[in-house]
Amino acid sequence: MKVHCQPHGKVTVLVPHGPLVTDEVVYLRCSIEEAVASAAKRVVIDMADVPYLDSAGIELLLETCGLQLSTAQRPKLAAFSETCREALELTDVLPRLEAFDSVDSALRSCQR
Amino acid sequence: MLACDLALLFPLADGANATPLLASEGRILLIGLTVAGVALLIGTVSLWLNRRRSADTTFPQLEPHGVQHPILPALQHEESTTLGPITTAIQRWLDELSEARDIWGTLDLLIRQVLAQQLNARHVRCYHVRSGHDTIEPLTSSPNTTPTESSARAGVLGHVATTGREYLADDPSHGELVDDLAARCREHWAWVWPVIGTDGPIGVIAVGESTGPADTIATHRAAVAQLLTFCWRHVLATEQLQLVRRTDHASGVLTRHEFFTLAESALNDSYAANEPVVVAVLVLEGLRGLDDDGRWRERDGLVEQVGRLIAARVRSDDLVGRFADDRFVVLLRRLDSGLGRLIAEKMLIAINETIGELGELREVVRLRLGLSGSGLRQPAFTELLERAFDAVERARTANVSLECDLPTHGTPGQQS
Repeated sequence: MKVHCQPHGKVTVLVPHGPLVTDEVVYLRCSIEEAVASAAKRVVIDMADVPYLDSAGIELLLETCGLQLSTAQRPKLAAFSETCREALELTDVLPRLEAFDSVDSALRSCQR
Repeated sequence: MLACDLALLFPLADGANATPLLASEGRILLIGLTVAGVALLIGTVSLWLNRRRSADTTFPQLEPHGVQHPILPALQHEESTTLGPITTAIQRWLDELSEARDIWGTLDLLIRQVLAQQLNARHVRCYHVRSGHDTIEPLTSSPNTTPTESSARAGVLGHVATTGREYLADDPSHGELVDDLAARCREHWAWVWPVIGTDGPIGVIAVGESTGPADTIATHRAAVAQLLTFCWRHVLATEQLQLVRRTDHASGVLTRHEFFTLAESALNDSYAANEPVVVAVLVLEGLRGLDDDGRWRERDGLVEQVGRLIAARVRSDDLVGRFADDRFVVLLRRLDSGLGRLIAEKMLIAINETIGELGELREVVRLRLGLSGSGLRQPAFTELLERAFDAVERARTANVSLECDLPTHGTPGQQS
C-alpha cells in the first residue's frame, strides 16, 4: 500500500492507495503515527482510493482514529468507498469514528 | 395469457407459499398489461406521427447523421408500411429488448436516434430519477467510468425531475426563476422533459439543440416525447420482470440457479484479484413443525423477514440466495475470516432479535449458521459450500448457533 502525504495549511491529508488489509495496515499505521507526531498538525485520511478493508484494517482505524482518542490526536476520515462504509456500518464501527463524506468537509471541520 | 404464461415460470416451492405467489402473479399481470398497453400505444402514436409527417411537406427528411451502430435500420432502408417504418422498427426493438445485455444502454441509443431522426436533435442526455426523486443519474456511462449521481434539486434538470414539468428554453411562460436557473447552468438545454411513471418522474431527457422549422418541431415534439416515454416505461417493466424471474418470491433473495450463476462469476473475479471470500450457510430449523401445526402464514412471514434481514446485513458486493425451503446461502467478498465472522455474528444477532419478537415462534424456530473461508488457497465454490454445510451440521450436533471452518491467515490484498 502506498500512502501519499499532502499538506493543506495546518492540516496533513494522508491518501492511502489500495485495500486496507492485514499485510498492508503497517504502512498506514506508520504514516498516521508520523503525521500525528509531527508538530501540532491535524490529520485527515482520504479513504477514497481504499476499495475495501478487512478485520485488521477495521482494527487499525478503531485504534488510531477512534473516538476514545482526544480531538488533537484523532485523525478524521473522509470519502469512504461504498464497500468500506458498508463494512463499517454492518460491524457497528462507523459511529465510533469521525467520518466525513468528503475531504473538503473534513478540512472545513478542522478549521472550526 | 401473458400473465398466465409468466406465472408458470415461478412454480410453488410448496403449498404454503401460495399467498406470496398470488402477490407475485398480480405484479406480473400488471407488468404484462403495461407491456401490452405500451405496444398498442406505440402503434397508435407512430401511426399518427407517420401521417403527420407524410402530410407535412415542410418537415425535413432527416438522416441519422453522427449516429453510430444504428439500431433502427428500418427507418433508413425499408419501404413504408401501413403503420410506417418507425412502428415496424420500434416493434422489432421491443421484441428484441429482452435479449439485450444492457437494456438501458439500448434505450439510450434508441432515444438518441429517434430524436436525431425526427427532430434533428443533438447533444441528447438521458437520466434516471432515483431514490424518491432525490438524485438523477445518467442512463449509461462509458465502460471506464461509473455513473455519477447528482442532486435532483439543482439546475434545470433537477427542476424538471422534481416538478415533472417540461422545460422549453424559448417558452417565456415558465417564469424568471426558471430562467435564472437555466442561466446559472453550465450546459444550455433547448428542451428538457420528464418521463412520467406511475408514481411521478422516472427519468429526464434533455436536448441541447434541435434544428428545423420551429412550428413543425413544436408539433412533432409532443408525439416523440410520448413515444419515448412509452419505450422508457416498457424498459422499466422489462427490468422489473427480469428481477422477478431472478428472485425467490417468498424471501426476496436470489433463486438457487441465479445465485450459483452469479456466485461462480463473482468467485472468479475475486480470485483473479487475489481476494479471499467467505461463504455463510443459514438454516432455519423448525419450519416443518410450523407446517405440521398449520401455521403457514407465520412460517411464510418468517421466511420473508429472514430473507430481508440477511439482504440488509450484507454489503452490496455480496450475494444472497435461497437454496432450499429453510436454507439461505451468502457469498461475502473482499474480506478476511475475521471480518466474515464479525458480519455473520451481527447478522445472527439481528435475525435472532427478530425471531425473539415473534412471540411463540422463538420456542419453535432456531437459526444456525455455518461459515467457510477460502483463505489464500482459492478452493472451488462447491467445496466452500460443502464446508459451510458441514459447519452447520456440527453446530446442530453441538447445539450451538455458529460454527466456522475458517483459515487463520489474513487477507492477501493486492501487491503494492
